[in-house]
Amino acid sequence: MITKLSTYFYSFSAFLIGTSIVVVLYLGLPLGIDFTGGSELEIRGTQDVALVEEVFAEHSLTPRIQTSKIQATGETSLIIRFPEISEEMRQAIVQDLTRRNESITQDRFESIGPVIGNETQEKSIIAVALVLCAILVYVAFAFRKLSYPISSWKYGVVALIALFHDILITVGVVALIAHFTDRDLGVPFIAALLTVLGYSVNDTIVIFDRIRENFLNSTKAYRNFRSVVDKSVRETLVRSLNSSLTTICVLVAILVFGGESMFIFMATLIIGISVGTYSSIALASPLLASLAHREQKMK
Amino acid sequence: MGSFLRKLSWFVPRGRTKVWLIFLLFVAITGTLIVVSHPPTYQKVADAVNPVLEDVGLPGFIADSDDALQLPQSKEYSLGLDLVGGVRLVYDTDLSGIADTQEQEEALQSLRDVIERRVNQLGVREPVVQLQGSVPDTRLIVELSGIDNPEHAIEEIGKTPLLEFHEVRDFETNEDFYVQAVDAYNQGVRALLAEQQGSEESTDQAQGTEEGESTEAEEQEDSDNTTEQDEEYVDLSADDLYSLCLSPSHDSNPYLFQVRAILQGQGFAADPCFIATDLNGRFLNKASVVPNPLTGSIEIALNFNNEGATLFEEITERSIQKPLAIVLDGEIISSPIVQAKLSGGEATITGVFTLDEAKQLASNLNAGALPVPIHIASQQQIGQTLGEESVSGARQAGILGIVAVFIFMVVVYRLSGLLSVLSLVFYIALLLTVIKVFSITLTLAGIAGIILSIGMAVDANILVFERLREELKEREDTPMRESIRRAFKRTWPAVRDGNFSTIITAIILFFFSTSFVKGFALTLGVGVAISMFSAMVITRYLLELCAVSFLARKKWLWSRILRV
Repeated sequence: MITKLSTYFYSFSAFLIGTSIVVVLYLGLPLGIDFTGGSELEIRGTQDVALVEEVFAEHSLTPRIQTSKIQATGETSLIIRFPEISEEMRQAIVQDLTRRNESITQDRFESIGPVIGNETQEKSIIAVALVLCAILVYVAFAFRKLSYPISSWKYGVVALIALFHDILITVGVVALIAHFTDRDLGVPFIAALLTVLGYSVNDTIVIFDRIRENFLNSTKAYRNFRSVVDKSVRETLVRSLNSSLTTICVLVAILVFGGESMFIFMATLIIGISVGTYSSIALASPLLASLAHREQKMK
Repeated sequence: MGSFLRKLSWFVPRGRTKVWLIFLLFVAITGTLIVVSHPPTYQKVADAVNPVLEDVGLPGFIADSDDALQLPQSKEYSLGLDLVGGVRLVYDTDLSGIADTQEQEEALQSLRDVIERRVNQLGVREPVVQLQGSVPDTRLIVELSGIDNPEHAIEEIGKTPLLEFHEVRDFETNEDFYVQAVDAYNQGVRALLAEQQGSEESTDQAQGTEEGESTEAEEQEDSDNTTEQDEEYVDLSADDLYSLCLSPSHDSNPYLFQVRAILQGQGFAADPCFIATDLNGRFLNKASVVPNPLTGSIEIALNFNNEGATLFEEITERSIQKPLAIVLDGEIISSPIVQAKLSGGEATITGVFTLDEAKQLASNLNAGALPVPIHIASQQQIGQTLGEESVSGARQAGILGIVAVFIFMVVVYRLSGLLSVLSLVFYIALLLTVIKVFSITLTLAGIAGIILSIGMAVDANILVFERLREELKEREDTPMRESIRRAFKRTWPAVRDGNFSTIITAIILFFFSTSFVKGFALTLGVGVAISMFSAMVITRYLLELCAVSFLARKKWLWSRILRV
């Protein structure tokens, strides 16, 4: 079933990946101060964007201002982003703000130097690469007993292809969301991506494990690896959907109640886990079958 | 729940008592974990139990210690900055002044100690001061949670006042200087007197504007005495000035005060008496506040390092019976008379301090001794209100998410689902207890990690139940217990491989070292590890327990849409 439709799945995934790449290239990744360096000030007690802009202009800064709703109280807060400033400057700005409107209070202030931002960028890339390598090695190790009809390291490679698929699409969708809601991508985004990697490979492994078991149990299996894959996907389908559903349930709860600082983190997890579930069913498994098919033909 | 289980027990065959014992043990452990993981309840239990324990006493069991049989006091969860509000500061250290690697490391360690002392004086609960990174690029991280005014804290930490020790200029070698100073002073006084006579203005006003810093009391004193004294000192000689400098009441001497003020007014920059020595805050190991055992007044004890001790000895030797000025940021804060040569590198600053002033000064001195220059590389300030809102948001999210999962499991997997809910309760209580006992700091991201791990803990259960469903469908004649065992056995490799990959990710995330990510990785990793145990061991025992009851025959109860 799954393997018969593989051409459609492949084209659909290719389409999504292509769109994601175009989105990222066209819109760019809206990286936040965690990576670029800069300051972020969150205040409440006013919704007057013009007033804030005016105060910042007096300090010759042109900020980017985003309004955000505080779930617990229903108030609105303003998140203001601008280049890195000194502590004295921050005090002066906050003082000026409160002088204009006494009800303004500072909720949060973050300032990150460009050096630390660059380091975080490097670290993020290393962390993602490290997770991918570790997963490749682990999957190859876990499936070491299987060498027929395809060698064990190919399970790892297929899992890896699925992971790249998940990352690319997730990044594309999140970039789109961030762009239209005027949010930035910070360290939480990277943490969420890495978690998606872990979760998605977990999903893929469960199906591969079923393939491994069904394959070892059936004596005629070498003749029809495809049907083993089909059977395995069918048997694990409900489990995959139920597991993802419960997890997504929980994540939506955090997205709704977790506040602004959790938004991108949770959105990334939700999208990533959905894509990951799709890819382990409709991409990784048929890919395995296609690979086996090709290898058998070549012999 | 309890009465349901008691009714259940009527149907349990006798030979299965072992399983029952295990179940009771499970209930007891889960109950204990719930109590321990909930601070208010735990405190109530401890309050109730401790007197009883004291009464019982068990003599012979505890020979020496009185409180050996006490339950410890309740400990709250330690919450991160983003939940209680506070500041996180990352400082770059500038090691360019120190060449040797060994010395660089020592300097960094003492920097950490100095900052830690300063931070401790802010009265923050459980402050974090740590060094991060390898030597040339080491950063200093300071985390202060639950503070009201981050400005003050940042100022206190970042401020690096300069502590110096000044000695009186030697008269023989500096006679020219004294002559110049006296000339300038005399000129100033004459000009002032002329002005006073011309306008009939009171001197204290004229002085007041010129001095700027004088207090009212001093002005009062000045105005009482000036007329005669000005005349007396109007033709001050270099000798007079020198003896004035040596006067035992140096600090409180109004004439010296006047001399300094007038010299300043004349644009004479140097201090008329003192000149800097080589000894400064760099040679200070530590300053601390101590009460004088005899007088009870508050003093500040200084402790120099070896080099500083040698310098101090030399300086005190040539300053016997002369004042020695302790100067902070160019301001003389005290100038005691040296009574004898002091060796050993210990000194005290006496003065009229209140305890707060003394603490402030000691902390300033410690900062003056800052061995490595630092500047802020990044900072994070979070208001308490925002933190409180985050906590309530996280709590709501947690409760809602967990309840949704519970309902889902019971509706879809029926009896098995209900049992998995029990094991999830055990899991949550155990996870929270581990977090509390090992004082793992909970951040917003950490709570997200916990909630996510609950979602993922369900995964292993779902895998098993789906497998059980197949077993029940395919092998109708197999006894329930056997089917359960087979289901668990065949699910194990998938659960193991899947969870290990998450744990690997969590470990890599943990060493990613950003605090947001660390908190998340830690709870997720610990959570997944514990969830494997709860799903594969606890759920299994619970299922097997029910499999020996009448429930085993009602197969439709065991999994979703099963028509047998």
